[in-house]
Amino acid sequence: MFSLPNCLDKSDNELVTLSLKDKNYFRCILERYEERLKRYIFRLSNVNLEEAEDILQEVFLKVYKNLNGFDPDLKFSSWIYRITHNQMISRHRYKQARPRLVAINEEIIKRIRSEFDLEKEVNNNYLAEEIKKVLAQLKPAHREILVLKFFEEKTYEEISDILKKPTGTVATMIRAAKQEFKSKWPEKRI
Amino acid sequence: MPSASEKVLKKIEEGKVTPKPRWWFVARRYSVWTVAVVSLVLGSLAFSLILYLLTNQDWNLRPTAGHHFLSWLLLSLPYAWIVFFLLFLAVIYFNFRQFKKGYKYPAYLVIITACVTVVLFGSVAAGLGLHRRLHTLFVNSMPFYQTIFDARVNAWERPQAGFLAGQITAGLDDGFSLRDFRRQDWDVTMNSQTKLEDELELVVGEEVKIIGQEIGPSVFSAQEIRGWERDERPGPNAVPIILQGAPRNFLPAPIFPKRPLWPTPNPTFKAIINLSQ
Repeated sequence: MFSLPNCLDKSDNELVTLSLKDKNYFRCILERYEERLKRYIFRLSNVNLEEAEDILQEVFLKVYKNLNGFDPDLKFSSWIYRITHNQMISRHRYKQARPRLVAINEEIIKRIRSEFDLEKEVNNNYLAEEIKKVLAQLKPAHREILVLKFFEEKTYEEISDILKKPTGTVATMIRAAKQEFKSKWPEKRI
Repeated sequence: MPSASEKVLKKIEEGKVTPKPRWWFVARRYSVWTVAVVSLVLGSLAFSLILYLLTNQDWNLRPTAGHHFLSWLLLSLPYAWIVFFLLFLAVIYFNFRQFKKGYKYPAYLVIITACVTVVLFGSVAAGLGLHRRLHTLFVNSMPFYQTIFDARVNAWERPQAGFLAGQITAGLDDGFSLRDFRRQDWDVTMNSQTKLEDELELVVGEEVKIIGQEIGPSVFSAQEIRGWERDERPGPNAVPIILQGAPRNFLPAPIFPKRPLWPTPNPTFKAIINLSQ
């Protein structure tokens, strides 16, 4: 059986190396990424919990089988997000409208509020609901790039590695996604 | 209820799942590189052949042919090689995308770089004469190469427009027999006004292109005869291999000896057309 070694002080890359020698360390990777990736899946699709876990299992199995193919020049988180992104596409879940978009916390609202210059007096709960509604109406590719940028807090470089697109293209996509977001937002609030 | 992590660990344990070996990834990386490099070489050779066919087309004949430049160009473009050229470029592009950081570069930059590299290498190959050797090799080893790959055949296989090309199969009293690239036989007549390209030797097996007029069923009157492969004529100092003191126009071996595309009717007949001078 798998036991849980002490891995809090280990970096992702160290855990990959250790997992190849001792599969118990792979549990650390799973625990570190399970919730994050589950949220990411919910933010992009409308799958239920069971389906999300199925996708997640496929992602983790792929990660484990391909551990030797991990390129240490890449951030491990970018690599695992890339695998999740590809898995969503191959499952045709990516294009389904109305994602769940789980909880939007204060930090995310703060980032979006400042990025889109949203009215200050509108309360956060209301704003969170509006953001969910507008994001659900966006093209899937635009939704994903905004989720990566503002929800997952990925840099342009990381998004480029996750989506396998040049950084310039990522910048263009973010601009276009923001444009679409603004166009869908109720006018008086931007 | 067990979490996704627990289920994955169970699957790994029970299914005895192991990571793919490192060599598998190394082999995959090398195979991507190999395909890219091979495509680069083949694309360059395709480009050199395009150059060869275009530079061997008779562009100065356009006014004679009564064509606009564009229509003459469209007749003369080696489409099959152009398709191969684009195909190899596409393979280079898609393989480059599989390189470790291949996705970091914009598509237009990859395509332009691939194009420039292939054109550069193709030009070097042409400069070294590889294109001519390759063309001769294909002509001699692939029976239908010329009709499919050599666009000049399209421009020259139009007897009603005054253009005919093919291989000399026998000598006649007033000309020679010729089999065109679509394997139709012709009697080609000549007279004292018929112009012959400098250093052209009319011999059985030689491929020629003729400007003239169709004067009857399968009879063509030649006004001008040129060698099919312009740069295969022996140079001014070339010594005929076969004989000294032979009649004019008798058989110096071509630089790249041709094997007939079909059996010569009488292989021992190395004809000579006795031109009235």
